[in-house]
Amino acid sequence: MNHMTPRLQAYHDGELDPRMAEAVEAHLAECEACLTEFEALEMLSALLHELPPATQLMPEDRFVAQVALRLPRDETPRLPERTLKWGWRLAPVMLVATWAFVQAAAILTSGIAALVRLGVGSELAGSLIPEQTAASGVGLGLAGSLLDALGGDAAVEILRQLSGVGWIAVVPMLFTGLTALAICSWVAMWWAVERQAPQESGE
Amino acid sequence: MVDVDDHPLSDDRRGPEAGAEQRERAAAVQAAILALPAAGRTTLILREYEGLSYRDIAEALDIPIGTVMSRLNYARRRLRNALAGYMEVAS
Repeated sequence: MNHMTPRLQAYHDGELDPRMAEAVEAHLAECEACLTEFEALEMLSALLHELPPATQLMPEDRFVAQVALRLPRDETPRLPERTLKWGWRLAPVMLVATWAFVQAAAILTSGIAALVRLGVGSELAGSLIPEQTAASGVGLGLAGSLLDALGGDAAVEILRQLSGVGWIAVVPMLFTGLTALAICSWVAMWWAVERQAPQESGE
Repeated sequence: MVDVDDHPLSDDRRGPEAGAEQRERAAAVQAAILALPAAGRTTLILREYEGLSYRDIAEALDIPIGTVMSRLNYARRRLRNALAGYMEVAS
């Protein structure tokens, strides 16, 4: 019969789970050596508790421990952890929102460009933006502010060059691709984390 | 129901010898605890007098639970040796 000596202390302190406690109890009923050991633990506890209740023992030890227990040891890392967690959860939402914003801006600018091409509101934009630039649609807002900043023919010339290259039209497509890639990565990481989660919380 | 009056708070009713004996025992226990190494003593006090769980002690002292158990075990063994003469009396 194997002795339960290593578990007796935890049993005495009420630190065993019910199943293990039952096993120790059953063992104590038939093992004289372990019972003697356990009784010695109980006796020692009884003897220790004979000291006056307001024991003057090591007030500094108790104080240090009490202070340590009251310190927000766990709280400190918890707050940024929680923020990170929420940030992590919101990441795809933010990505989609940004993507939607960029797409909406692109559609709006091409709409304005179409209006400009039709001659509507030409007083607003036509004086500054040549038709071919406006037709490229995207980046009109940027173009507008650029024009404001630079002013005059130089800016118009820059925009002509840009729209000639046509790269402005590529930006939303590129952005859509990057967003899709980011969301796919997020899903992959989320899946990996979820798979690990049960092992971590099993502590 | 247990009547509180059935359980004397002190040894007044048992005469001066019993009181002296208990005082001596208490002094021996206190001396034995104070003779423990600081780490084991703190752990023991937190467990026996503060009633903290192993986990709480581990958190308070910033040590693993395994260390709490080994320190407690060591402290209790030393106390048992030091107080061997009083153990039978206490039971």
